[in-house]
Formats: sequence, structure tokens, C-alpha cells
Amino acid sequence: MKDSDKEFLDKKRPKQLYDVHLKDYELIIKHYQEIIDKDENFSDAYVNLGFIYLDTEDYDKAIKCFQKIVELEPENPEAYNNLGYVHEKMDMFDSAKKCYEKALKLNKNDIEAIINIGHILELQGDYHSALSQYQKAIKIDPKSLSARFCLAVLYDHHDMYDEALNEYTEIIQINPSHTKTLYNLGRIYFQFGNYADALKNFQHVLELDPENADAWNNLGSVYETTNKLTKALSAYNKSLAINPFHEETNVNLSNIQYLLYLSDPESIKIDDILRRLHFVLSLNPHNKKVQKLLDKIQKPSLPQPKNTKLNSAIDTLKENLGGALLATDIWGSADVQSVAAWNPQPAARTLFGKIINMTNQALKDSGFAILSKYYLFDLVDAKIMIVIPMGDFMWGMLIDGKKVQLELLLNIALPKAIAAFEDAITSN
Amino acid sequence: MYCDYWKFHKPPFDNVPDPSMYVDCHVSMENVISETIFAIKEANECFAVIIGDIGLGKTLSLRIIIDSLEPKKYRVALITNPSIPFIQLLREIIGQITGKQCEEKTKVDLLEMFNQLLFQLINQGMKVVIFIDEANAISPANLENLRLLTNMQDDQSNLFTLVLAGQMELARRLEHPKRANLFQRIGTYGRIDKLPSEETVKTYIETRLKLAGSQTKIFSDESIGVIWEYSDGIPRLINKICKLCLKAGETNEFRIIAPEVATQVAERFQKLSNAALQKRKPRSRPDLESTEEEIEEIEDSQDISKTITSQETVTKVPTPAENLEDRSKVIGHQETPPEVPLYKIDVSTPSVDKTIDTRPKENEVEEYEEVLIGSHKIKLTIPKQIIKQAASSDRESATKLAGSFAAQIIKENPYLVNSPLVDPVSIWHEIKDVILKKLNST
Repeated sequence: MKDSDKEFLDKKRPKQLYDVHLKDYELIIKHYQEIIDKDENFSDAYVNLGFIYLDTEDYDKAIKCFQKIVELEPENPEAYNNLGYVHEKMDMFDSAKKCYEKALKLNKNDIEAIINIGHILELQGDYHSALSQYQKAIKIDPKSLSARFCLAVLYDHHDMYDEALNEYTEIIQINPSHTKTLYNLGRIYFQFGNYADALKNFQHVLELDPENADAWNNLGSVYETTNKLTKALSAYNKSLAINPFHEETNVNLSNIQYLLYLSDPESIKIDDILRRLHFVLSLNPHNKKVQKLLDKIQKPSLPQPKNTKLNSAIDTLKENLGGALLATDIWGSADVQSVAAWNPQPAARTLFGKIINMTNQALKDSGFAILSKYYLFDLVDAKIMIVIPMGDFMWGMLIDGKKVQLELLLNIALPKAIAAFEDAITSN
Repeated sequence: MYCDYWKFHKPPFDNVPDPSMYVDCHVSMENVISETIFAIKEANECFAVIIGDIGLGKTLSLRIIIDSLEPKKYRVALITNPSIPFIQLLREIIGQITGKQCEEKTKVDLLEMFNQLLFQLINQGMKVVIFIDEANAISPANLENLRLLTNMQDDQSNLFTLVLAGQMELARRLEHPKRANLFQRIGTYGRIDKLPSEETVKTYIETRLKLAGSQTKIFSDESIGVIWEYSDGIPRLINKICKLCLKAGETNEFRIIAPEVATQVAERFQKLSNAALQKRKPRSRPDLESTEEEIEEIEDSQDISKTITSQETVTKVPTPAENLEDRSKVIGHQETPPEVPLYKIDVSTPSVDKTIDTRPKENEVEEYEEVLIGSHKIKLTIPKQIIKQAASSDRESATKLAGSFAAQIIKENPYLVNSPLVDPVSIWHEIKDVILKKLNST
């Protein structure tokens, strides 16, 4: 409802409830009809009345109002654009298109009409014609944000990322605070794996629009992918605080909670995760991501080697390294599920799992010498990360290099660990 | 541009209509296109049907078929939202065929006009083809009206062909015994399927790469396995994943795409919410000055059957851009909302008394229970049809039903979960449990 209409109501009728009743619309309609009764050629009143009917979804009456305006202002392209808009609301796309074409006949540079036609063509699946329309609008007015944004979104919907990126970038140069563009740019950067720029854009969106649940979800996704799990959880929770029904966020949160559960079953109740997933299914029974995650949770995905031997291998390593061992995890290579651990580090599992898989593949493809037994990462602050890939599993160990002699580690502790690992894996 | 890096002469995986990138191995799509064109041009069929789920190429197929029809011989009408009333549907069809706005108002006049148009065009050596996309959204009445429309045929030949394209739901409706009359008139009935196996996905990917000018193997066999798993054989998703993989390959200077790259790419876009869309609205006029007339105060009326809150979506009118968003959401996620009847509940709290009309509708009230959910007292009434449905279902289905109903209750009464201290999932669970108990006890 227009502000002036609300003001009118406030003057005439004290608000008793915060709700806007249908009676309020009746008041406004009566008000405009009285104006029209006094002057049947007062086109502004027809316009405003038409919008009220649009608001109340009384499209037949809305059409009559906008048709009247066309009669009163036959040379005004805006009248045809508005009439076309009503037809669009009624899903009469061809009739809408004809109205927009009439607007164009009156003014061949009417950007709004060109964009509106483009939109209808897009709805009809005519990508190339829609593209031409938007490009035509941009040629007429290169600074038109609407035209550029429509074009960018057309590209985006058809996964034409580079083209979309170019258009979104042009828009930001015109208006650096165009929230939707920043948001969509963030999405593209994220899909490109450019997490820094994705983060920057989503954060900027949230500065401008802190109640944007989608942006919080996407921010959470960036954090999750870059292993900042605490921040990811916080972002997802913020998204749900704004919109508790946000499907993607509920699924993402469930996913991350499940990973945490796997590394430390005491940290989270599996029932809470299942409950959330069933909640999403109650909103949308066809959500395949939920089905997939439920399947994963409810049935074991890997044949489990006897954990006793794996835990025993970990105990032996602890014995040999003493205080030098900071953390250790054994996990499945495919799904990063922990099968045995001491001081588990889920983020490290995910990170090093990815690194090892990519390195293994690169070595394999290169024709260079392949891996023998393990990878050793020399990290800052004298930390050593060793990862032993073996069959379907990986064993990672984080060691304090200041508390152990390297010779002892490489010649005694590590070979024993490898042998114990092999024994545990093969004895099934 | 990644095409230069991989030495393609054109992009291999663009998700835009491009018949030159059309791949033989998507057999079902190829068959549907050729059969439908044959039905229109050669066999002069009355009805042609294309069934296909989202992302499989249904709209693309329609576009390819439409583009193949010579404008001098065919007048085409394309309807993309057939749920509109039949009179409007006819106006749209006639408007597209004639190229002029159709002003006829009554069904009789419109049918007469349509009939005349058909014969006029036939005399000019032209034929009408009407395409209806998203035909699963057609109401039963419209479907029946369209069937009757096809009675307008010459003794010797069909004056027009009607092509219906829709999702699986359309197939179920057409195959129902009630629609036997219509089903018998269907000349071709094609289905676009997903790519059925990893092997066909591999052929699809490699063929498209070759069409783009690739000379080398780019995707490892394991990565194709990943793509098959994440795409579920849907060409649109295959294209998307492959394109992003190629982009990642260019950025990281890979010579071959490993499975980890495909996994990472596929997992990324699954996490994201949809793109933001342009919000379009008509141009309003300057504010009018209000008059000083006295208008009597309006008291709250018990006859108000519908209240509109400032936060409710009842008055929110979705713009066509949002329709597109819905379509694209559907395209992206292949999801359809559950259908559960709406019901209002009376909620009162110690501090706020908000009255919602809870007068029972006829035949709806079974029994109610006053329960405490969170800090709200709720009078919960379960419609007869839900009780009936639950009684004839197994436990799992009844639980799902209760869950859907509980979600509906929360959506209609968002202040149940407004407090930051309240976990909506717990509230949902509580309501669901109460509903289940009631269903089990009846």
C-alpha cells in the first residue's frame, strides 16, 4: 500500500490492530472512487486505484482501471507498460507483450518496454531473443541498471558465468551498493572457487542488508568450504534466525553437524540432526539432498574394519611419541568419516584429505614416481603433519616437532604405525 | 576465457539452446524432437505429448521444434502458463496466431473466431501449431476444453496440432482412465529421460567436447563417475558441473580434471541459495492529497473472514520475476511444495491477544485439544480429511502427514517461532507429536 494511502487511513481511522484489514482497502477504494466520481478523467486516481486492485489481486478490475488510463492517455507509453504489467500478472503473456509493443511504438527508446518484452521472451524459453532485447536496452542506455541486471541474470540462469560476471561488474561500477548484484557476484565467485571474493561480496551484502537469510546461508557455505566451521555454524544459525524455514540452510547445518558428530559423537545428538532433516522434508518432501543425507546417516556407508586394531594402532603411536603427538585421525578417503581418533580434528581431516587426493591424482597423471608410504608436511612453529594413505583410508597425525627427534619419528615410530595400520586394514 | 586454455573453438557445455551442440547420445530427447516434428509436418497429428522432468531438455526441445517450423507454413502459439482460465487461454492463442490483441470476451465468440481462423489459414496453405509448456499445470477443466477444441477438425485432416509438454504428473493425468477419450487422440507420446548410465554420461561429455574441438581427454574416468553421481543423469546439471570444472582447470592449470575437482565443484553449488532476481513493478503516480471528508470509524467486524497482516504473504503479489524465480527454483532443485490444506488456529498468550477467525468450516471440525506449545496455548483442530488420510496410511505416511501439517501451522502462525530463544525445529516437533497422538487415538 502506498505511504499516502496509509497516511490517509491513519487520519481517518485509528489503528486498533497492527493488521491491515480488507476493510482498509475498501476505504481506500471508496476514497478513489469518490475522486473519480467528481472527475472521471482524473487518470492519476485510476492509476492508484489500479494498484490497489493489483494488491488485492482483483485483476479484472485492475485491467479496467489501466485500460481507462490508456483511453485517457493514448500517447503515454507508461499507460501501456502498466497495462502490460497487469496482463503479465494474469499470465497473459502475449497480451502483455502486445501492450509493451504499443508502448514501444509510441517511444522506440522506452527501456522499460524493451526489458518487459525481454522478460516475456525469457519466460517463453527464447534465450537468444531475450538476450537481444536486453542488449538493445543497454545500447540505448548503457547506465540502465535494470537492463544490465536483467541481462546478467539471464546469463546467470543459463550458467554463462563469465558473461554474467562481466555484466555484474559493470553494474557495480555504476552502483557499488547494488545488493542483488553483490549477492549474485558472490555466488559466481564461490562457484569458481574464488572464496576470498565470494566472502567479500556476501559480507558487503550483509552490511547493506543484515536480514538477508540467503546471504547468511551463502556466507556460511564459504566458511564451511574454507574449514572455518565455527563461523559457518554461526552464519547458518543467523540465517535460520531470520528464516527458520530456509531449506538450504537447514540442510547445510545438518550436514556440518553430522560431520561434527562423526568426529565426536558426544558433541551433538544425532536425533537433533535427524529431526531437522525431517523438518525440512515436512516443508518439501522432494528435497533430494535431505534424502541423501538421511541415507548416509541411517545406513553405514563403509565396511568397517575392526576398530579395536585401529584404536590399538593409535594407542601404540601415542605411546611411542608421548607428548609430541598433538592429534591423530583415521578416516575413510571417500567420505572423510572418522573411524578412530585421538583429539579428532575434523577440519584437518577435510583439508588434508582433499590435498592428498589431489596430489595422488596429479602424481598418477604425471607419470612421475608415485607415492611410497606417506606424505610429510613441515608446518610453521615446528609442527609436522604426516598423512599415510592406505587403501580406502587415511591416517593423519599432527606432531610437535620440538618434542620429538626426527630420526626417531621417521625410523621407528612411523614404520611401526604403518605396519599396525596395514594389519588393521587387512584383517577384516 | 577457458575455451582458449583448453583449445576449444566454442564452449562445449553452455546451457543455452544450440542445435549444433545437440548430442546423439541423448537418445530420448532426439527421438522426442524428431517424432514431434514428424507428427506436426508429416503425420498431421491432432495431439503430441512430451513428458520430461525438470532439467532434461523439455523446453529446449520445444524451442528446437518451434525453430524448425517454417514461418511461411506454420503459425505458432506458445503458452507457458496454462493454468489461466480457458477464456484467457483462448485469447492468448488467438492473439499469438493473429499477431493482434484479441478483444473477444465470451467463450462462444472466441471459439467461433478460432474456428474461422483455422479455416482461413488452411486456405492460405498454413497450419496452426499450439505448444503448451508446463502442461502439468493445466486444470482438469482446461484439459477437457482443449480436448473439445480438437473437435474443430476438418473431415479429412486435422486443422491444427496441439503439443503438450510437461512433467511426469502430466503423464499420470493423461493415462488416467477418465482421460481415455483424450489419450486416444494422442498421435505421438514421447518421454525425455535422464541419461541412464555413467557410460552414456561419458559419451555425452566426450561428444560435446569433440563438437567443441577438443582433441584430448580432459575428464578422467573417475571424474565422470563423480559427475554421474552428482548430476543424476540430468543434462543441465552435467553441463553446469563440466563447465565449472573446465573453469577450475583453467584457473589451476590442470591438464586433466580429477574426481576431486568435480566433487568440489558439484558440492559448492548445491550449498548455495538461488540467485537474486530483478523485482519489476509498474510506475505509480505522485501521491494524491486526501480529502477532509469524515469517514466513520470501522469497528472490528466478526464477519471478517480473512485478515491480512503486514508480515503475511497473503497480500503479497508475486511479480513475474518471482514467478521466474519459482520456475528457476524448480529447475534448480526439482522440488514441488507439499499440498496440505490450510487451517487456522487460535493462539493466545498471556500478553498478546490475537484473535484469528477459528469459526469451523462446515464438515471440518472433528475434535480439538488445548495444548501448550512453547509459551503459547493452542487450540488445535485437525480437519476430517487429514484424520481420514492418516487412518488409511501406514505409520511412516501418517508421521509425514503430521509433519507437513505441523509445518503449515507454524508457517501460518510465525509468532510461534518469533522469539530468538525458540528453536523452530523443536516447536515443529512438538506440534507434530501432538498431531500424531491425536491421529493415533482416533
